[in-house]
Amino acid sequence: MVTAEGLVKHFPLSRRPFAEKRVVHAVDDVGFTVGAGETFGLVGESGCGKTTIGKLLLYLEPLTGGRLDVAGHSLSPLASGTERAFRRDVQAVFQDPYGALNPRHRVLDVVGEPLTVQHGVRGAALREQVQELLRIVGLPTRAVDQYPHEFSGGMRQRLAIARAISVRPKFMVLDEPVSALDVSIRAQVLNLLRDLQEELGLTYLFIAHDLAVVEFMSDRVGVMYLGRMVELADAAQLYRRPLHPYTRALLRAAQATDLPRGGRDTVAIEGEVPSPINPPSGCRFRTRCPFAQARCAAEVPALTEVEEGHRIACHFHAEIEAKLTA
Amino acid sequence: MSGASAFARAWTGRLREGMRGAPVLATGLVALFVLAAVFAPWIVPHDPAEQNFLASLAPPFWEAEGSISNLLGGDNLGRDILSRIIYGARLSLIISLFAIALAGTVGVLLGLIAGYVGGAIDSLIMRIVDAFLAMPFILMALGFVAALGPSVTNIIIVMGITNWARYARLVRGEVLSVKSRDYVALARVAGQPRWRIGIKHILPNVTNSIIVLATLDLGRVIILESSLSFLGLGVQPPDISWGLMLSDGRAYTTVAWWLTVMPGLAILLAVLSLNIFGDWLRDRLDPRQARD
Repeated sequence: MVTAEGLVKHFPLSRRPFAEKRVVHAVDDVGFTVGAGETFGLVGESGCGKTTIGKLLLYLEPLTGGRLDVAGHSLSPLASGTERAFRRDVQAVFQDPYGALNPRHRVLDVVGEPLTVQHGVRGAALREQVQELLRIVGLPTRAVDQYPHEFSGGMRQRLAIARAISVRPKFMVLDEPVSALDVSIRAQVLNLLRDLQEELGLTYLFIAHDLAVVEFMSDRVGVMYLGRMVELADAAQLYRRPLHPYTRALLRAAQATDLPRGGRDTVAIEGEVPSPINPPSGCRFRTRCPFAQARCAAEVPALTEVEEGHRIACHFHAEIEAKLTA
Repeated sequence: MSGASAFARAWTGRLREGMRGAPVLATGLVALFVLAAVFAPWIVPHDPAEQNFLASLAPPFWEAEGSISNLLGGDNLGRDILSRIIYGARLSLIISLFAIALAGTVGVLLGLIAGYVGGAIDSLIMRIVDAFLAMPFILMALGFVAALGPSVTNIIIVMGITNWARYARLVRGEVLSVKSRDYVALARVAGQPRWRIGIKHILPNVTNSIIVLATLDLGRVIILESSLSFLGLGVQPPDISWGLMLSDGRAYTTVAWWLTVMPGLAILLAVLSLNIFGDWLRDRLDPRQARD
């Protein structure tokens, strides 16, 4: 469904003449695939580039480099004249349920917009289809005439989901779809997303910073740090046996609060994420990695397969493993 | 000019605290002005151009020598001031509405393009805006009126040309904030063409600010029109405008205050009530605040 190779996205910082050209390295050399019907989870701290990946897959931002195919369309770049067809196949739900719905449009228009744009559905037919969609996501059909501000965050997120599935997409980008919701509402929305995936045969890119949520949703998980993919594995594998020191640190941080996992083999890190304008040479995690050595600054570690379906980008993962389990 | 409108704005704030019924009163006054303007020929007690020498400099009816015949008194030529104010409302409102419609259309369109398209087009439009905002209004108006000649159409054009820049700047700023909202990105994800996103998603979410600026501007433009007419650059006799009445009455201020105070009061009330009305309208138009 998705094939990404060597994705690069840089944002220029200053367009002024004579100014030094500086760029934000939002995404650097990221590759992954998402198979049809599966959920690929993307985790990492804020600013690690996971949302940018989502935007690249939605063709909201042009690629700086690399190859990207989504739902049978090449996005490097998208062939002219095929954008409408692409938009029919790929939809999205974003994090902020308050910003995702135009406050001046009624639910009928909010949920029905993709249907109107893509299939020219209007009037009574649109009303009927929107009501059906509302039923599917568990909202009362009378909501059709209301405005977004009349709904709670969880209900708005259901509206956003109804809108996204209206055109029967093949692939959906879910960018932190529950992180703005009350904990009590999260499970409902996540279950709705899983049910819809099963019924409609959807493929998801699930972006989140909450490890427990990603584990619940994902078949495979990619861990990002400062624009690079550092570890990629089946969800079960990753959570049972994280190999990259950054993933270990993430899991330990989560475990300190709610993930019930044991761990001598975890890592504690300190400090702040370096600036993506001027990222560290070699391995980008080296400035905070307790195991960093000279080679880490000199050489960018490649994402290599260390066991079946488990790839990590670390020069010394074997040594670290040995040291931690000793 | 701007002093008077700042004065009106300050009073707008105070009135809002003191009177909960202010919007009702203001809306009533706005309606009164509009009705007076529309039905002027049928409701005026006298022909506004009729010169009755018996009523020359006649005081308002509550003064010792006043009479019911000329409720607000007569001017130096014995013309009925009330009738002239009613006719003046007509021209003032027409000029202001058309001027704002012109300024607003041009400004909103250019602001929308500048904010939404961005890049070099944005820079170009905003430099022109800066140039217009930097020029003093009266100087610009003088130049244009001198070039075009004073007529009602030309006053409208001049006020449109001299006022669009504020709309462009306001709308551009609002567009910049609205276009980064998620629903704009999601409209693209839905496959909405960009120009339709501009019209369906961005424009409706900047209308609040446009309405507020337009209603505040209505008051301002009424004052600008009056200033132009006062200087002899605006409405020309035999047409009537409040500014022209002020100008005509100026020489008699010491002997007959009502020649200037009455049209002055008309300007004040119109501007004040339009400002309050604008506030109320903005609240009403926001679906998050409408309650029914």
